Amino acid sequence: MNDLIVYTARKIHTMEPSQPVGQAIAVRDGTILEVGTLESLSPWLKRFPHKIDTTFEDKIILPGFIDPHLHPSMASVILPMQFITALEWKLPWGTSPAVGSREAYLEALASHACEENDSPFFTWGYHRDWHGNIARLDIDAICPDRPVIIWHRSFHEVIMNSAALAHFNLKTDAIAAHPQIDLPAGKFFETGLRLAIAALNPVLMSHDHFGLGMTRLKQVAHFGGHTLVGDMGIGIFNFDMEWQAACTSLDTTDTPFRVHFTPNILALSPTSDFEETRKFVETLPELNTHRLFFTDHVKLFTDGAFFSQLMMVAEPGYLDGHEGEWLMVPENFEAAARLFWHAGYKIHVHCTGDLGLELALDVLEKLQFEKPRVNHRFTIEHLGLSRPEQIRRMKDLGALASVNIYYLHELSDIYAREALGTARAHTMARAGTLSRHGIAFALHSDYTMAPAQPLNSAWVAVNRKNVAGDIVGPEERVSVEQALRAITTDAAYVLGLEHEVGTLQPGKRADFTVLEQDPFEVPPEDLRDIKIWGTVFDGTPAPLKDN
Amino acid sequence: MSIPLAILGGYLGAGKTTLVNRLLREPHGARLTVLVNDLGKVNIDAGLIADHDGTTLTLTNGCACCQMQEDLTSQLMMLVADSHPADGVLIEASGAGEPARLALAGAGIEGLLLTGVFVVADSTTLPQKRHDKFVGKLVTRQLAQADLILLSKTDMMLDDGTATRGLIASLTDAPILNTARIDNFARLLLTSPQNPTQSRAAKNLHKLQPETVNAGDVFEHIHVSPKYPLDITMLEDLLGAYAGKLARAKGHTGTHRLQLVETDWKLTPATPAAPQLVFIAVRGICDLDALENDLKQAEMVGPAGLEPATKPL
Repeated sequence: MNDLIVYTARKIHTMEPSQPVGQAIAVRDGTILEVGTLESLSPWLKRFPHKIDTTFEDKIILPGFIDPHLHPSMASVILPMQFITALEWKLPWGTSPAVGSREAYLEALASHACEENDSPFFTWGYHRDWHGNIARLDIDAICPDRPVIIWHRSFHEVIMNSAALAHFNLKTDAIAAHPQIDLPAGKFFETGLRLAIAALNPVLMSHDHFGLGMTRLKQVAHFGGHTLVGDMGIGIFNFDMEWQAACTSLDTTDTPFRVHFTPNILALSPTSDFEETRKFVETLPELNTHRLFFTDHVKLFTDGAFFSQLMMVAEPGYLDGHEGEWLMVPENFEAAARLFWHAGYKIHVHCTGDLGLELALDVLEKLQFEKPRVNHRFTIEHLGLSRPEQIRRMKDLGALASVNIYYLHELSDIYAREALGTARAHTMARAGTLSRHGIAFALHSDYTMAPAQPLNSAWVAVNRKNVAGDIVGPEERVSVEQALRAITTDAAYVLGLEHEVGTLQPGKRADFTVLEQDPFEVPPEDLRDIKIWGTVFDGTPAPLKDN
Repeated sequence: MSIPLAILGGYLGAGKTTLVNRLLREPHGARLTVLVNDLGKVNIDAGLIADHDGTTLTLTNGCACCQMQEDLTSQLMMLVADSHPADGVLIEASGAGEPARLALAGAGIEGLLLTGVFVVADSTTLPQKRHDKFVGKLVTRQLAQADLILLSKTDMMLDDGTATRGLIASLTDAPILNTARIDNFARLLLTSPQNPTQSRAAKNLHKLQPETVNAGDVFEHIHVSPKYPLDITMLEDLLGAYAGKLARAKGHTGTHRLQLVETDWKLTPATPAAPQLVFIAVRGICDLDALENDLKQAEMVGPAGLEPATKPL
C-alpha cells in the first residue's frame, strides 16, 4: 500500500449532487478515499502517512472527462495528415486555423505542401462548401513535383495532383474511363475511391503512417482532458491490426487514459452470422489490460453517414429528393439486435436520421415485448435528426443517447439551406428535449468527425451557436451542469462504467481533469476557452506539455 | 475474350439464394463462379461438393461459389487472372444494396463484360414491401435499376403473380420473367443484351466502358506453377515477409491450399495436387519478381536426384 496523497484545489466539483463540492481530495493506489476539506479528511490523515500536494491550489478539479464514442483507428489514418480545415481545429501540436475560402485554401496548401520533400503530402479537411472547386490543375500549379493527396472532410472523396497520380500509377487512360473517377480533375469518389484507396492503402496502413497516427491520437485524447475514451466500433478496418496498434501505442505507462472498446458487429459479421460474432465477442474481455478493455457492449447500425447526407430521413425527406441509405438492412439490424438483446448485451445503435431512429425504436419496442429488460443501456449513438415524440418514446423504452452535438455547430447552417430546410436543421441533436424527459445522455466527438474536446462539445450543447454565428434551436440548449454531466457522469453511465468513474466519490478511480477556470463561473459562451492544465490519471498528475 | 459478368439483385428474402443454388446445380455445362454475400446459405448436396475451404466451395461440375470479399475489385481481378478462368461470373448483390453500384465496381476490371443487372422480385411480398416505411423506396429503386426482373414465388399466389407483375410493370420498363419458367438460367445470365439500347445497365455501359478500364494499371500479378511442392515452413516465412505488400493470393502449394487477403493468410492442408499459385499486389508496392525467386527457393527439391515424392510432405 502506498502513501496517501491529498490534492488541494480552489474547488473540486464532484458532479455528485449529494455532495457537490470540496477543496481537498485524498487518493491512494489510484483510488479516491474521499473528497472534502483537509479538516473533514482528518480521520484518514490522522491514521495514515500522507503527502499534501498543493499543485492545484488555484485550480479546479472535475471528474476526468469521458468521450464514449470516438474512433482511434480512423483517427490514426487522418492524424498524420496536415489539417487544412474550414473551421478551427485545436491540435496538441498546433492549431489548424479556420481556412474559409478557396483563395485561403490554396494559399494554405501552398505553404504546407511545397517544402523540399518528395514524399507524398496528405491533407485532410477540404470541403467544397467552403473551399470551392479544387482540381488537379489547381494543385499542379502550386505543387508540380511533390505528390499531393487531398482527403475530403467527409472521407468520401480524394483529389490528387499529377505527381500523385504518377506516383501511385493512377495516371492512365484506362483509369480515365472509370465513371466515378474524374482524371482531368484528379478526383476519385465512390467505387472510384476504392481504386484510389487500394493504391494508397500500403502507405496509409503502413507502420510509419498508422503508428504515427495512434501516437498522435494519444496526444489528442490527453489534450482534450480525457481520462477515458470509448472506441465505439473496433473492427472497422481489421480487428487484429487495430488491436495490435492499440496495444503498441496506447497500452503504455505514458498513456494517461483508458480505452473502452465496443466491437463493431457489422464489420465483424461479413456473412451476417451474428451468433458466430457473438461467440467471438464473448471472448474479447480475455484480452483486457489495465488500460485497454472490453465489457459487454456491442455496436450496431441503422442508417448512413450524417456528413455525407446519407442518413435515412422520414417525410418530407431531403430538399433535393435524394435518398439516404441503410448501413444494416432492417431485417439484419433486427436479427442482430434480437440476438444480443436476448444474450443480455448493452447495445449501441448508430442512428443519424429520424427514420433510422424510428427503426431502432420499433425494434427496441418489439424486443421489450419479447423479453423485457431494465437497466439495459440501449443507446442511440449520434442522434442527428429526431422528432420530439421519438424522444418521448425513447424515455418510455428506457433508451439512452450519446449525442454528436457538433453536427449542429458545423452543419446546421448549410443543411438548412442545402439539405433539410430550417426547422429540422436547427433541431438536430435535441439535447434539450432529452434533458426535459430526464433521459441520461452523453456528448461525443466521433473523432475525427468533431474535435475531441469535451469542453467544446459542452460549449455547443449550452450555446447552440453554429458556424454562421446564429443561435439555432435555442429551446434545445442545456444547462452548464447538464452539459458537464454529459462529458463525465452520464458518459460513464452510457458506457456502463458509473461504478468506477464519472463522479468523484469514495472508491472510484482517481481520474480527474484539472482546469484553470471554473466552468460554473465563466460566462457560458467562454466554456470552450477554459484552459486545461492536464489530468490526474490513476492518482498521478499528467500535465499537458506546455505546463 | 471477356468473361461475362452478371449482377443479381433484389431485396432480402426475394429468392436470390434459391436462384444461385439452382444455377450451381443445373446441368448447363458452363463453369460458373458465383460471388455470394453469405456462403453459409448456399445449399448444395454433399455429393456435388469437390472441395470447401471456408471461403470457396468448389463443385464437381466445375462451378465455384465464393464468399464476396470487401475488396471486390481485387477479388474480381483474381478471377480474371486465373490460369483457367470461369466461363462466367455472377455477383449476388446485398439485399440492402443497389445492384447498379456493383455493376460500377465490375467496370474497373479488364476482361469482364457486364451482361446485365437482374433483379429478383418476390411476388408474395413486393406489394407490401413497396410501401414499407423503412425499405419501400429502396425496393423500388432496385427494381428501377434492373435490365430484367425475375419474378419469384408465383406458385404461392392464387393469381399466379399477375397482380404483382402489373405492379412491377408500373414501376419499371424492364421485361419481367417468371423464375419458374426459365429453362436455362445460366444462358440467360451469360448472354449479352441483344439490343444494348433497350436495357438500363446497357445504357450505362457506354459510360462504364468496362473493356477499356483496366484495373491492371492499379494491380499487377504473377502466376507460379512450381515443379515441386513448396516447403510450408519456408512459405510461411515468406508470407510473413510479404503479407503486408500483397493484396491477395490463392492457390495450391502442392500440399496445402493458400488464401491471402492483405495481411491475413492461411494455409489449409489439402489433397495433394500440382502446385499453382497466383499473387496480386498494387503496382509498385511489392517486388513480384523477387517473390517469384523466393518461391523457387521454397520448392522442396532436396539433395540432387531425390524425387519430390520422397520428400516428407
